[in-house]
Amino acid sequence: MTTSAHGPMGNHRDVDGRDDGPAVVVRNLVVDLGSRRRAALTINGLDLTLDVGIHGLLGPNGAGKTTLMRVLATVISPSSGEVRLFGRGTSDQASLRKIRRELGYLPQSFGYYPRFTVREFVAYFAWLKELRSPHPMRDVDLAIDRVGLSKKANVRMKSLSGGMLRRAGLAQAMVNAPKLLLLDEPTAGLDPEQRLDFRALLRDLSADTAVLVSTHLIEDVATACTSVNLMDSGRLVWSGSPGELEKLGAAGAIRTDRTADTSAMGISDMEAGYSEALARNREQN
Amino acid sequence: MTIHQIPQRPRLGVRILMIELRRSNIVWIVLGLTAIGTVLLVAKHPPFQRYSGWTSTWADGAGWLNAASLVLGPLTGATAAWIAGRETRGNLQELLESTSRPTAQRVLANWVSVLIGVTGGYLAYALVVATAIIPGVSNAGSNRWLGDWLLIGLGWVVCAGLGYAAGRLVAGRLVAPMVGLGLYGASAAPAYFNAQWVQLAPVAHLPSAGGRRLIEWVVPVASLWLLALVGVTLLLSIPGKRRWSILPAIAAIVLAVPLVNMDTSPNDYLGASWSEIDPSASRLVCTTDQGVTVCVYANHSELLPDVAAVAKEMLTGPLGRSHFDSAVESRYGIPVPVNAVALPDLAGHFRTFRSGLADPALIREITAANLSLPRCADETSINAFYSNNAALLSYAVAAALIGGSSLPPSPDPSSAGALLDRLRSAPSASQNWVADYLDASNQCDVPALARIGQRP
Repeated sequence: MTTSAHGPMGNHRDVDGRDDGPAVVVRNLVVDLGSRRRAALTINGLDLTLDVGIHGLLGPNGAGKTTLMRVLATVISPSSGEVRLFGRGTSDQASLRKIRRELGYLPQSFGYYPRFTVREFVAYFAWLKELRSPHPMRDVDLAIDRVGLSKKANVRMKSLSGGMLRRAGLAQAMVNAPKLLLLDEPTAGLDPEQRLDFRALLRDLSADTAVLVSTHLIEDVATACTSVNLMDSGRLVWSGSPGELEKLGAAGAIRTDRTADTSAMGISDMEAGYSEALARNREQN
Repeated sequence: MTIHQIPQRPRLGVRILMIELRRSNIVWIVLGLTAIGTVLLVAKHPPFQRYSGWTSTWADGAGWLNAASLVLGPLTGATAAWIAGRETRGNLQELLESTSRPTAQRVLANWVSVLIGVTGGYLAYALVVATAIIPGVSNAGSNRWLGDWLLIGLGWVVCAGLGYAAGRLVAGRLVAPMVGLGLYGASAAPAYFNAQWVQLAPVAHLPSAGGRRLIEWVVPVASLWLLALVGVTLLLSIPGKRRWSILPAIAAIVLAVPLVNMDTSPNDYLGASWSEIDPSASRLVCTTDQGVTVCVYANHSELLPDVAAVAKEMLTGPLGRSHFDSAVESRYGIPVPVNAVALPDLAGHFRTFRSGLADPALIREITAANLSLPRCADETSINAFYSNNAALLSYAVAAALIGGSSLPPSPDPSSAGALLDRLRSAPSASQNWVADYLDASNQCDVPALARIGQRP
């Protein structure tokens, strides 16, 4: 029997002293959903390693970001390749159950029970994640507080705005203090002010957790992430820091056309770096 | 780094069940089922209906619950289907699949809340029915009516289970109403068949009736049959466990075999049935006053004082005393002694939520009508009676006996009315005439009745 420290975003070393290594290790991942979907979403030989920190996953629509997130969330199984989360494989039910206790997932299309209050919803998912805590409701309240919804804790989900719903989704993802937090398009559908608030929230996440934020908005990764992974057509085409992506944009052949008086030169360089990396990959292939 | 001990008694599970109960609208389910059932009950009685139709016995109460289940059972199924479909309506499948708790536990927590709601709704409605019965109940009969009420409640649970499984297996907002309609149709359809298997239907076909009781071994076997059905539906609701539903399905088939192969009980008008005549409810209880004995069945003994008063009124008059010395409640298939007036079957003459007769005047009318009809054992004589004007005489005789100013409904009101006028115009002569009529009637002397009818 293992025990581990829990409070939202607490430390997670198993008492038996086992070091799980990187939170995520993916080798030669292939996912082919073509036979089951009208629009085939495929991952074709992807390698990825993630450790603690906030990692961005960028890419155009259809790149396979959501498919990768679903694989890491253990919602779908890979067609081939290796996926190890916290040092465990994802092929057997016992391992899956242990992995899922340490996961937090906010899917792109976030569903909820409209009649549940925020507190009930987060508590329900704490139960679903088999939260082992001497004071589970305290952890629930802490998660709700961290996302700034304490005043809305007893409000029904159906009464929340889009931004607050996302926060509630983040709260349920964080309540079990996951080792791996997966956020798929967390700012989708939010207005600019709500996006700013959400990015600020991401920055405040603990350094003891591996966070993977999937987005097609460069602003999201620029403000919160310590590393950026760029996907295109089911493959990982570039990895590095936001600064390196900026430099790639500044030095690359493809430039976006920006007016001189824009105050967002940094973002422009990053956007350019993004386009540059995609262009180079497509040229090679 | 800090380490917390794993708690010995996790409390989150209990809290989740409370959340499920609140958010599955359990209170509204209980109130809704009770309210609809109460409306059905009230609508069955005056002023919404001409006659009461109510019988305040526990066995008849089971009969009413059984009938009401035709509507309330499908309602519980539709409600359960709606609750079961919340995961697909809420677009939560992806999020739920990423969690660690086994699906079976999650489904079970939700199902338990549905079960509590349905059970609570049944118990609440049963309490309403009991409240309607208790003031007028006669403490006669065996306690096997408890088995009836248990099986009816389990039938509701089966309906909920079927609805829940449908809600989990099929996505869509129309699933719930379709389940309700489907269950209603499936519950009503067996009424058109006269076969033993009809009794297997979870709702609306239990042979519950006053004066009867379930055969002793039927209650546990039928309970297990219904629980096996619940098991099938529950396992069908859980992904990954569906193949295991074959086990309770096999058990259900095994249990159904004896339930559909009952032997026909002798002298039982219901034929092969899960129920039998209840001797303790069917024995006669009597009272004697002024030389007149009035008897009713034990499960209707609560009405004996009221009925005796009505019967005595007719039997202590010159006409009654000279021809009859008792009045006995009649029941289908059980003959009344020749020297006794046939009282109506008192089933359906109770008042809801109160004691006493619903309509003493109606008892008087029916008793007078019974008294005026001939005691014929063969169908030929009965047909002869109705084919000539002797039948018209009976209406006038009945009206004269109860001293009423109006006739009971008859095929030829003008002829019967004319006779009644003649009887009233000459009271002393009419008594002789009526006495002769009753003598001929008791002996089924149809030609004599016809001659009497020709006398002025």
